[in-house]
Amino acid sequence: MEMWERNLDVLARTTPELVALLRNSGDEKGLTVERARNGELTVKRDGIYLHSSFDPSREAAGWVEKLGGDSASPLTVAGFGLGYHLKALAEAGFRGTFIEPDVALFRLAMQNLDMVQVLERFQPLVGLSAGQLRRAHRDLLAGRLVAHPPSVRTSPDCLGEITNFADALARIRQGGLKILLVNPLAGGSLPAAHHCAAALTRQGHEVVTFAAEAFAAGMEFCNRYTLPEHRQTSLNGLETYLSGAVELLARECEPDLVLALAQAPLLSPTLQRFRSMGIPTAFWFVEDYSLLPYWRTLAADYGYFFAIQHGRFTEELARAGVRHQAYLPTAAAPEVHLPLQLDDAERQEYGSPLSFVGAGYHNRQHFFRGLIDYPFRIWGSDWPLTPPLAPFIQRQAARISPLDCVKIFNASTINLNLHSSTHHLGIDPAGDFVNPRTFEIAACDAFQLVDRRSHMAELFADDEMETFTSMGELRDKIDHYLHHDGDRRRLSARARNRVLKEHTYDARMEELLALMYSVFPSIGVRHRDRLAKKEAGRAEMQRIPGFGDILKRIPAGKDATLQNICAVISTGSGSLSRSEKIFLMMRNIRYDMGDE
Amino acid sequence: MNDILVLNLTRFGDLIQTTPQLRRLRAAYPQARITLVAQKRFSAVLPLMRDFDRVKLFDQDELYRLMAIDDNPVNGFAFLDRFMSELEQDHYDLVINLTAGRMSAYLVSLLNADQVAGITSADTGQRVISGAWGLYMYSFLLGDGRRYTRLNLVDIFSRMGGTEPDGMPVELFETDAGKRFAESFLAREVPPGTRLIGIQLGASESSRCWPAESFARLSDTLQASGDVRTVLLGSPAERSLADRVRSQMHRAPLDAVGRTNIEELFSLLRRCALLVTNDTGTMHFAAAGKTPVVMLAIGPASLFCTGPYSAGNLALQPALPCSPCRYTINCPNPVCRDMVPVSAVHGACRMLLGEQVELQPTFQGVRLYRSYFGTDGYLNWEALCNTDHDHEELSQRYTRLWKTALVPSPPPPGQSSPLLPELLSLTRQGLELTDQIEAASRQTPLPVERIVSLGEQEATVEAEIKALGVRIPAAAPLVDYLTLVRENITADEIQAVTAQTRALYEQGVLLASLL
Repeated sequence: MEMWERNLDVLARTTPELVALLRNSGDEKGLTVERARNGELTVKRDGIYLHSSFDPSREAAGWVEKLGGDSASPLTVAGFGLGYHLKALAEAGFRGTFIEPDVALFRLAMQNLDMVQVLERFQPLVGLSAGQLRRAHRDLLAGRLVAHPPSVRTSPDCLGEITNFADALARIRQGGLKILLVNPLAGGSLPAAHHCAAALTRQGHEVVTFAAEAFAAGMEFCNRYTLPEHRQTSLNGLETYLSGAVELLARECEPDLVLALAQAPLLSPTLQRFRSMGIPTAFWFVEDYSLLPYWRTLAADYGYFFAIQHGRFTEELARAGVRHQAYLPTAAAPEVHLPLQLDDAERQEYGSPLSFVGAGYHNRQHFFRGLIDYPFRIWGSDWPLTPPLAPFIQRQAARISPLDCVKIFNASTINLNLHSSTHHLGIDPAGDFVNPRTFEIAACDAFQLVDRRSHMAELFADDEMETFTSMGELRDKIDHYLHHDGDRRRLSARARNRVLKEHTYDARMEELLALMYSVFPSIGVRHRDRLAKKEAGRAEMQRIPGFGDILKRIPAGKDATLQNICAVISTGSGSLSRSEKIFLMMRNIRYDMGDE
Repeated sequence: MNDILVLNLTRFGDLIQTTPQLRRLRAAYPQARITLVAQKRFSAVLPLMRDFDRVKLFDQDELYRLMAIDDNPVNGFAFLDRFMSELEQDHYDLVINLTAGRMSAYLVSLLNADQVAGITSADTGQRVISGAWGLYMYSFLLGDGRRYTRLNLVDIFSRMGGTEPDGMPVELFETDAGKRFAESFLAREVPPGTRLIGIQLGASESSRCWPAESFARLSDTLQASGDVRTVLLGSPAERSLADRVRSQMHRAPLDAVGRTNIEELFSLLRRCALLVTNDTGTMHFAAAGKTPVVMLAIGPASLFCTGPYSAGNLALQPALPCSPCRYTINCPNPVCRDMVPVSAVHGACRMLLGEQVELQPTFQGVRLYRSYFGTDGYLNWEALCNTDHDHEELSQRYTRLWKTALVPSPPPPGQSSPLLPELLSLTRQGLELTDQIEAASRQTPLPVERIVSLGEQEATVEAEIKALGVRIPAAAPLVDYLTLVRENITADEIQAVTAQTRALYEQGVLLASLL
């Protein structure tokens, strides 16, 4: 026990929460501890030796020798086992991080081996799921990661997935994927689609957008039919047309993958044809599966299903035949959701001690009746302008623009965030997912009180997000935070840091792409081919007289696409070169052929 | 003139409309080598054409593919680079661009020809329309003047290329394969003594289409006479339309839709007694085969500009003030499609079959025209009934103006009372002002304030001329033309700009005085 306590003492210096976890965890059933021939301890998990049954230390030393490389750059090791290879690494001067999902295994090592040097040189990530690792430690995974092979073999769901993910992450960080993004016609997932496009473009990928929102008027037209069956027939026709149009676009642009947001107009036959064309598809279902059941008819046709809920939904998806799925919560777009310097007039217009932005769902209409003694402003659409809430509703319940939302978040002392429900009288006690508003308010460095959701704990720490579970608790917290500026500021600053680090669309898109990349080999093949062609194209471009000059004018970070090239060719000022004229011919060809 | 290049990157019908141009160039410059540049997609008609020495095919579909699929614009660039390099190997004395649009403008400018007719691009990339006839054509294509034009594009093409209309139709030459197909088709399907009437159902745009059910009723009516068989013609893309029309017929027609290649279509058309058609490529095939045509000028289709270029055709146009509409109009209520009754089209067919037909009431609600070649060699259309006399008069007046004024040596400005005295006065003011600016710009030191003041006055004249074009519809064609001439000024030095502006007003005075 002396070694156990000594190890724990060292661990407590860097990771005290892990010490508590270790003290409270039990033995893992799948582990078999044995003595190796040299007398050292070795262990089997699910019948597979994690270390040599002859000489674990010697095996570890050999492994480190084979690994080679520079010990000065930090290293992330996937798989701890009993830590022999970490000890060898530490002795060789390496430092960094290790990942071990199995708490019991780590506990076993801590109880039986001297880990002081290891813990002094390596930061532990123990007991985390693959999802948590992906979300919270992306940069670490994209760095130098080495796998401890037997650990990875015996942990396919976590270490196996993480090592594949890390490999894919490193590749997609080169940029250069071609992604067909299918927007919905309207609704809450449309801004999410726009944020996805912006994030993917920032990451150096080419996004070809099917902007279905151009057909929003068509959907409104269909909805004008009086008889429901006529409405449905008309909407089905529109959806069939749009789904076919997406396929045409895919045939034209030959993307590496298709990403569709919730409500995107894609039907099963189109998805099946994408599969036969070898184009992987992803669906980010940023909706509540229990409220909108249409996912059921489409889920199995998508290559990868990304959901904002897990638990029961994970099981439902598996039952529906979904082969690849992952939890991918919503996010904020810090380029839009950001702290603003508002002037007095704006503070006057948008500010309030207590604010709420969102549509007038049933539960909100009911719940907010308990807050009418506060200076309260309610913004958003679908609110009935009737007592007792009518005096609180702003702009006659008009829709609020994204920019105005940001101003309201910034100008309000407390932003109330109550997840919507169509049938509860207030808080949904079984509510799981976290809405985009949570991340958006936090990204603005604004303070919020949000109803407690079961997925909240894995996204924000308790000292980052203040929650409530009843009207009484909410009122108490409103009273407290209205008068404690410092508490508000501390919480909102911590929440903002968390969002910027983990909950942005950039982070989500990286995670989504790396997951897709790790399970669909065709993406890697196309990607490599595309990068090689791009490289060859660049070399070829340099050989074209005058092209070098054109390339130099393209802003850094932008690819030499026809659009970007033509953007730097200005007509009407100075003579155009032959190359410039040929590019202008390309740009104008559609007009001449009567196609536009 | 040793080397002439004719650029026509448009469709079958447009290529057929190029044939008189080629014929007249050949006659004018028998020693010159004539290169025709055409789209590969429409090259099937080329074996039927003559009077060019070589052809360069532009594979637009391949370029589209490279541009749509490939991330790397270099592949599309390399494709165009190769194509251009082939063209650039030769020096051209004359390039005639019969294609509208900027892409062809850049293409032409890269050829550095001695003389260009049609659209090209200045070194700086600005669009330049070369030649008065080219300016005239684009002025009515882009503006509202098309309703007043009585000049066929074929004749305008001729004038753009520096040749004169010769009073001869478009022409194609039958191939042996086409002839064999047509003769076998007739022997198999058409009893001796029966007249075959071709019906072309579709058109490039739905706005130009007579209704399908009207075609069905016409076919039934024609076949009711006993000695007539109708044959449906069209491309494979028109298959479903043909099936729809057939399903509405009581007497089955012969059906060649999608079953003929270009050579076979032409030979079959040559053997038809007549063709009933919207404004289509098939119409031009018929004209080239000397088969009389009943043209349905629906929507934006203009019988005068793009009607069948041969004599003896009949054209029916809805008697609506908006007909033909502008290309850019997206009509919310295209009543013109239903305004040409089946009885009128049947009447026109009977006229072309040699029967006597009472014009009224047969053609009620429809303007009827018949084509003929004038003594000056231009194609013209005789107004037979229901035409607006004043409009016809004005259109003919404009037609005489363009024919007289847009020639290398036009007459001096007219002295008699002009139609648009206000325009004449304004153009004279403009001329006077530019004379003053020209004189001022030669002074040293430069009288900047005076030039600015004169420039402002000239801008006022320009604005008033434009307003006149809106206020008086009859002035619109001339104002559109002058506006385009102004847009064509590419100089940036004050003296050069002034000289070009002065030339504009000089021409304006001439045109306004002769109208």
